[in-house]
Amino acid sequence: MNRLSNPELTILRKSAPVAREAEDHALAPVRIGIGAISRHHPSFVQLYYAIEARRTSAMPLVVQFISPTPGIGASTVASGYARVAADDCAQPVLYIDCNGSAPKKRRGSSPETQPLTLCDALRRGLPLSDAINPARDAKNLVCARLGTGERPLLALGGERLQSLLDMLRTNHPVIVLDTPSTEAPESAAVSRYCDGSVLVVAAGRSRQAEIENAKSLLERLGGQTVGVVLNRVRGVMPRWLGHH
Amino acid sequence: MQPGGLSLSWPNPNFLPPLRRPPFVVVLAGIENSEIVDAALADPALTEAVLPKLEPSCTPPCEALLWRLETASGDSLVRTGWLRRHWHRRPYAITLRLVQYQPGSVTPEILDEGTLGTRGRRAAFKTGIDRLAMRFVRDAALGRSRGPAGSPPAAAPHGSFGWLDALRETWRERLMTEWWSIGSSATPIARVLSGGGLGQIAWHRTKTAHRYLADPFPWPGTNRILCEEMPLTNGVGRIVAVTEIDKTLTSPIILLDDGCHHSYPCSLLDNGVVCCVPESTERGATRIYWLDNDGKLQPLCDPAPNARLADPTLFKCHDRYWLGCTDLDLGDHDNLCFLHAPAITGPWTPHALWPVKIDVRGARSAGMLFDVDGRLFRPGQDCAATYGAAVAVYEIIELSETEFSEVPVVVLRPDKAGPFPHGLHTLVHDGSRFWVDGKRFVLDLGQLRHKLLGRVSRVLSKMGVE
Repeated sequence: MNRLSNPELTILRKSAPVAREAEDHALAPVRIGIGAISRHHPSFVQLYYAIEARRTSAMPLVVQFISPTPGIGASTVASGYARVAADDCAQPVLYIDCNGSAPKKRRGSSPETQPLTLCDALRRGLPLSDAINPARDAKNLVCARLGTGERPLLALGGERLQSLLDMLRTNHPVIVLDTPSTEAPESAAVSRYCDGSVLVVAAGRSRQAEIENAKSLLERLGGQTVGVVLNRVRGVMPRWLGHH
Repeated sequence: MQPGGLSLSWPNPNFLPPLRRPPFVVVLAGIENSEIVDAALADPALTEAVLPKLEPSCTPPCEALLWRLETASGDSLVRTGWLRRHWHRRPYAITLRLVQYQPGSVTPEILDEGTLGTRGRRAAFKTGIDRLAMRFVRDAALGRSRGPAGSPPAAAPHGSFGWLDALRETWRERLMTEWWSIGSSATPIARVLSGGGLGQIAWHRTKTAHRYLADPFPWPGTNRILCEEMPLTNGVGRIVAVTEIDKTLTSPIILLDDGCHHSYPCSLLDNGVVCCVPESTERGATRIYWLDNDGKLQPLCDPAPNARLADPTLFKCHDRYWLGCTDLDLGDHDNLCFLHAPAITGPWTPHALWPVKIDVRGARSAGMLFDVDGRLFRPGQDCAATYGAAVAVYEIIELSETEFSEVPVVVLRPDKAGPFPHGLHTLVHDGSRFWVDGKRFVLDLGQLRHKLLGRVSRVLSKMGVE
């Protein structure tokens, strides 16, 4: 089932070095571009290729992004990875937000404020494409919400999630699951339906015991941790000093 | 018979799966690849029925069966610049068709037809077009096409540039606030249906305040009016009852206020019992109540446990109960769906065509249906130019569990010289006169400050400032 192997550590810095791009070009005129991918943050590109290197099959890939505690930045990392993947894949990459949310209330509420979710589409027999929306600021990337309510993964259940992912694999080469932290047990249980789970931890915030517990929980529930992303790393030296 | 008396017969003699028609090849033209189109073409329900071959530029005659997406003028949707020509331009509506051409033929056969609104974000407009096109294709593949619509197609786009109109709309939304109120007109039904208009409307509460009234419906057996009371600030409406005494409305009596948004309290007098279906746009929250004389609402049943329905309109026809509504999962202002049941308590069944109609110019319900000399009339909202811009009245020609057809009769537009010149949203008849609600855009400084503070708060939260 799993189409990824061997864990690896990827480090994401706190700030993006976008402002220095022009100067870098001047210093290195013979620069090999990777098409549209070159506009992304290098750490996300590194993460993408680190996961690609661990692929053992050309079959569509389901990658879960999960953190030991909330507020670590797993959604940002998942989104960054999905954008890089979208620029590298021929078919649309699907980003699924599995985090719960309370429905909004307003007069004349529109689908834009309460979009159809994948769970709702399944339940109502509507085509899944009705629950999928193109990302606003990225090409070849489509987004969907798994469900509404506080714990959509619990509402869906394992078998239905498996069927859902099987259906989505037919049209999406990469499916990114942005799941809540391992504090919600059902979130860790999702890992068994994925080809691999990426554990996102924050420098100076995630404790070693939390990271180890999260990793062992994922493995105990049948998942496979393919990598650990160290997020929010602050450099000791100023960036301008480090580059010269 | 086996020894011991056991029968060898199968519990179900017809144990073999029913024969299914093999999928047939169809060339799909008139629409280009997009994320939505690609995802819809991978839908298993579609691919089990047809094998679509996407050839965007194919024109008739074609060697294979051809399904082509076209505008009302016969143009395909792959023509350069068509999106720019239609987006956010008058009449703010575009009619799309799925047309079938037999192999080698140039004779068109309209399989499906619908009219979409062209306002909103440009990307959302494109996505809406793709979704509608693929819904036509899916329904045609599954044998659920609606056929030609009974209404004339939308006119060709005209007026100012789309981007200019969109900019104007954006600033109007930012600066202005909608103010609604209810009114009544004693104009006879026959005159209204013959195009004579609503005549003089007696409006109530024309001055702005903190709460407005909208969606009037009669409370059968009383002289009271059920309506929605909406605060300008939090957007959560509640159901109230008011009485008109000496041409003024009494203070509202609250009937339903549970913290969730409710509006459009459609009522029906059935065997001496008043039933009421307020709009509740949360998923599965649509509920039919029994309304007693004291104003208490007793739940009767939930007709659509998984759907988000807008403007549920309860009526009785051909000894069945019907609930006309807009399915918000399919679109917010442009579709009409029906549920039907043998009794008001259910079981409620969706109509074979879901939706039965797609038209931003009148699909969404705008009040109770009314019967005139055995003819059934349905008011619908014209939401093309703005939400609740006008009321279109249709005559229902055919309504059954599998069929639906209606024809337009008259369009009632707001009086530009009246106090509510920007919208006419509901049309109901209480037996003696019509009740309507109207819209006016106002510059409300308190509401403007509220919007501004909300925007600043959102920007600060994005920047991580507590």
